[in-house]
Amino acid sequence: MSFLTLDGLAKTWPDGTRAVRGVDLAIQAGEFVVLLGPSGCGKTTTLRMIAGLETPTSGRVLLGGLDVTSLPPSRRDVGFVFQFYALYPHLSVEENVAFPLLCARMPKDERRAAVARVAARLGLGPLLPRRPRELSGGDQQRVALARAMVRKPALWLMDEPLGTLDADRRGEMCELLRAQQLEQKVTTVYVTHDQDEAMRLADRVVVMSEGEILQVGSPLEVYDEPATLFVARFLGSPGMNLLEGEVRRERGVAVFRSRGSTEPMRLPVLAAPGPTVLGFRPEAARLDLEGPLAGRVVLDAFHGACRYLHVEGGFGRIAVRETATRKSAAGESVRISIEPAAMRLFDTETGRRVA
Amino acid sequence: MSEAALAVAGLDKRFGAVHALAGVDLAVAAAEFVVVLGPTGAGKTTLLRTIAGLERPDAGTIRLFGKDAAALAPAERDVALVFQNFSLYPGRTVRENLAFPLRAPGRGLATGEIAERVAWAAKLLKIERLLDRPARQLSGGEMQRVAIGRAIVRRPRLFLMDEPLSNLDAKLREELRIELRELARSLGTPVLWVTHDQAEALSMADRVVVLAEGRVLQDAPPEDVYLRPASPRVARLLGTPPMNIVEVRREGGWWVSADGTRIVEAPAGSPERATIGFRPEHVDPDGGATEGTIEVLEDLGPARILVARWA
Repeated sequence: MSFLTLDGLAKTWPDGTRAVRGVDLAIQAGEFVVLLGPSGCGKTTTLRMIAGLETPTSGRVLLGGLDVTSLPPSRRDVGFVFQFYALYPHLSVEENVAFPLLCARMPKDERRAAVARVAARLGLGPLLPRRPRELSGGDQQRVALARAMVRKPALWLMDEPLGTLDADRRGEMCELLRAQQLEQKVTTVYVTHDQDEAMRLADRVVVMSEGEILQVGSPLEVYDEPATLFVARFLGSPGMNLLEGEVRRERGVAVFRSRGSTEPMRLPVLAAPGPTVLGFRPEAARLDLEGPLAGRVVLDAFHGACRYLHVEGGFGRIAVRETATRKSAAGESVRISIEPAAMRLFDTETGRRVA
Repeated sequence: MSEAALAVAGLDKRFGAVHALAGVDLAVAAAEFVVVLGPTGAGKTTLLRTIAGLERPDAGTIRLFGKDAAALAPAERDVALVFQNFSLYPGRTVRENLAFPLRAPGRGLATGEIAERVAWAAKLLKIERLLDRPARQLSGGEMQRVAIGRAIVRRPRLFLMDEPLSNLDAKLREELRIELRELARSLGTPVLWVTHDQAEALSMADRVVVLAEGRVLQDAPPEDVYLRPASPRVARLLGTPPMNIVEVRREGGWWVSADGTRIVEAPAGSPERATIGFRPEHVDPDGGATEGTIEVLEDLGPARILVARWA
């Protein structure tokens, strides 16, 4: 049996906006699940309904087999974490970490013991008497994490906790958070719009758009095998390249002809003829003098370990991941080929994956 | 080279005990896209505000297109400043918001000219279909497009951008990064762009100026800053994950780490001790003399990161 179950969960705002439109999801004990989607997709409203901060319009929340839909937040044993950054500057590290326990009216001895435990785990022991401003940025983050983790609820709910951190701090924090979650085995539901965080943290990613779940799967599944065009575009930075065109049968084999491009591309799978969208990741494309796609480089974006060449042609626009040393000038004519095994096909009308 | 759009020399600014800018030199050439990269508190925003004329420097000079800016009021500098926290008139339409900077007294633009420029900016930023909507109905990304549109309509000679993408969703940030880089190129207007996001700096900049604690640590093209960092500090600021840094000593023709592990061969004539840095993508996990165990494996889609421990 799953630990947390969302059963037809829906929320309609008084103005008629359908923020969440019937979400079904089963989460196992100890799992780290990330709700991923753009602003307004319903991910935060879903999280708040799990916490009991919003009342669902319909549907149920089951926690440990118990229907908690009508229970107030205080009786659900969930820890809700908003953002990790805000430490109280006038309190010591120890007082900061103990704060949630003080609010929960835990006796002093237990409080001290709990703070000591989490401090030992995160290597904060020597810092306990200090004030936040005396600490380095990295240490401040570990204190904030310690404060979030000093209580051990049945369920952690996190709403974009890394949102306000500098980009280079986020990676560190992801690592720390994941390591702690694995050690503590606390079931976690985490909300973000940042696919990079989702890839790094999740056992399973739940991709949401317009109040609905589009796909649930491991980070690599949603990345490699997107169920819809939306998921294909949303995951990846840059997202999956998508070419509109047509699947045809030519001399006994299935080929794809993109709109505005002359050369057919042989498909590795049997696909039904008709209008189709061909998708492939930037890392599945490469510059190749013999390649079927001809275009011009419009932007060469260096990314350190690699570079992305943005290429425009009759087919539209695609990104190609190249080695860091393959510098290119805007306007350069190139030809591109695509690794057959990485080709994905989508229905032009419904946007659903067909092959 | 033609005259620099912007030349800053020895710029110094203190706020009480905080030394926000400690002698900053930098230049932006005509049509150049320069990104100032630094952590929070590096002095990036102070630098932009000083160039825009919103702060007065304690020392140093700012030259804009060959003229000493000290003599110019903010309005006379002909630069456009775009902030992270953009402000629009919420009740006014996008069209009115875009036209507003053009109606300022003293501009004396004809109505036809104003309409033309608004239409031009709206097309460039792909917000034509939003022109008659009140600003308050826009999404965050749409609002930032309008805010940038308001800077563009004036056709300033220099753009100063203060983390303009930081408040946007990750996906939107990535799209606008690409779009705005192309837009800057097509306009040919020089840009000084400030950010803490290294992906923005590396992918957008002609030149990256790394700033920390009010000082310039390095000023070079993105490839150089990444592959030939001027100091371990710069090396650690860039790359996800950042550069590996190891303290080594020379022993029998090898660089060895503190625990005696051979890292790489030491060229003849190397010093006794050194700090060496190498990027994760330059490590070959399947070859070489250094043994280790994998502790963490992160699959990120296009790349896989191994965290290994040796010995």
